Amino acid sequence: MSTAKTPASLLVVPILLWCAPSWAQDAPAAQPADRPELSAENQNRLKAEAFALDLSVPEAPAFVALGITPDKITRPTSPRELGAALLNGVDDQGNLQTGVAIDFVPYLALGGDDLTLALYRQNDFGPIGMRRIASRFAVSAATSKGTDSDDKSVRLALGFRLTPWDEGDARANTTIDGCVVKQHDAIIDRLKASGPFLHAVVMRKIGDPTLMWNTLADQLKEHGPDWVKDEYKEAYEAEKKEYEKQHQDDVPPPVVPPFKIPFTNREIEGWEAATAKCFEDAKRENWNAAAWDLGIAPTWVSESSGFNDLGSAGGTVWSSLSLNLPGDDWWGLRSLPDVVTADGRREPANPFAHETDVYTFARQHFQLLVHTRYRWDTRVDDPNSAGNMKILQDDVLIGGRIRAGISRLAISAEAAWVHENPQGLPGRDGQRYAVSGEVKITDSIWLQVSAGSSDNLDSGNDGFVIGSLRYGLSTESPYDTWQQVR
Amino acid sequence: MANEKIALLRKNGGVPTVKVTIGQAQWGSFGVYVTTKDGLGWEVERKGHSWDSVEAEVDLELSPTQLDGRDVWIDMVITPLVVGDPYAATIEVRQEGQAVSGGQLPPYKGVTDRHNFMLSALVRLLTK
Repeated sequence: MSTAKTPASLLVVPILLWCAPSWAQDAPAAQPADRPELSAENQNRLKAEAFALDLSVPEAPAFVALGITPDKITRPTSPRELGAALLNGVDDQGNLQTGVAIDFVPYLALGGDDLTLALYRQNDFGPIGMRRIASRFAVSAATSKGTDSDDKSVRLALGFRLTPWDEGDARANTTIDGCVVKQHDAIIDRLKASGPFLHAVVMRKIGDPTLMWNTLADQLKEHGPDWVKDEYKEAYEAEKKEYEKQHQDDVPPPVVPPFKIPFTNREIEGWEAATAKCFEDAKRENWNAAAWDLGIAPTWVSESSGFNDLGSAGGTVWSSLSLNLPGDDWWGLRSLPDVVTADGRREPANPFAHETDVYTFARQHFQLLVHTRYRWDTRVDDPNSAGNMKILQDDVLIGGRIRAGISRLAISAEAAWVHENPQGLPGRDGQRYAVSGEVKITDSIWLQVSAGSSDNLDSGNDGFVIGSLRYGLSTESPYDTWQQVR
Repeated sequence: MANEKIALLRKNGGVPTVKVTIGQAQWGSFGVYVTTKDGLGWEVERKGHSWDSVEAEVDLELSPTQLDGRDVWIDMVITPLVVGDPYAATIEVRQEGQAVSGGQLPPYKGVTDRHNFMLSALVRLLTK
């Protein structure tokens, strides 16, 4: 069945008409006059995210829980580094140090050195691989200081993030193997062709086997091939002389090959670009892969900055479930046969090479996301107090998004509902909706049109009102944005 | 050579193997080469990838006596999921399933700074 391709303009125009400001001027339905409005924090949050609601689980929940963007993040990769990072968080007197920001994956830090990609892909219970799940469990920790110079308190947050299900896990994507191996084979063959004599000279000259070839590549880039030849010529000739002296009695006498740089800078750059493209292509193909992310970040505060003085300061828990339609394997349907390449290798068929029916088309081009966030014991301004009194509040956000991407056209529609439960006060809620469309004008320019509406987010708001219409140009493809943030 | 490790093979210990483990769930490929007697070429060439099998172990095809005094080079290319991710590679020279004396090289660990991180290891084989 052929797929009908709707001209992008026909889809953009209805969006523009629906969002036209003149329509927005018409009177909406009235709301009860005494309806409590949301806290300033949630109002600002939803307004700021009007056209791109943040419906994702943060990469480092601890940082988000404290509202910080650390300049320097420690990512320990071994037990020793982890211990050092933790010790740096507390001084000799047991006082918490501010500015700590740690983010790591315990399984990879403590046992990842023996984890090959093949082992990573092994399943333990049916389709479940415990090593994959463990590798997708991250821990973050952060501290921050009080709000002003008179505030000596220190806040601490721990964050835990887990992705128990990820159909777009790049490490489990065997298509990437077939792409990466081309560069790997080319590099390995080049290094092999340079021969053991050159290997030995380069290693002796640079001194570190983990640096030798990368250093040579960097020198080629920085100084050019002539400089590199001159730099290594002396060492090579000296080694050659020594070798010939040792083997002067051999019959026939061995012939030391002439010095030759194993690769050019252009080749290095080509391999780098080709490998990067392997991952970019995979991300783009899997932008709407199904996944489930979970996160939790409890926080504490110590008024005296002492570790023993820590008291609970609330926390946040997130859940994001992104869905698309399941593939042939899930339905038990015939999967695409392997393809045979020109050099006789068998490779998995690219399931996105063509769209054979409406179901496949929908599966490849749509994504539904459902997000929930619950925060407990957040300190907010007391609306009944004239001063700076705070009260505790719990709130929940439930949001959803549907995305559709069809090559030159990307559409996103989203909605969020927030309910607050402040201490001693009646509950209150608000909603926000947004829709956006992006049309590809050229390879590097996208036209963006978006509109949002809100309910109970402004003082004196009387109900559902079209908030605003925006349009503009962007050089970033929505698929690049979508693949970074579910 | 300062970075050359020496592995002692047992004369009657069977054909030695080299086990290459590229960890941190990264994409890795390797070539294992045994030099010719004059040290100017390769006599044995073996290759592998970190995604092909759970354990990447290649045999060196020659007997311990034939390998006495030869060098084994292991060239590796590691591609991280994200440039800046850590890498880890371990190499073992083994006979009959066990690492030989001196055959367990110190692990190569660090942080990748490019999409194709290249590194090599060198082991001199001596037979006792």
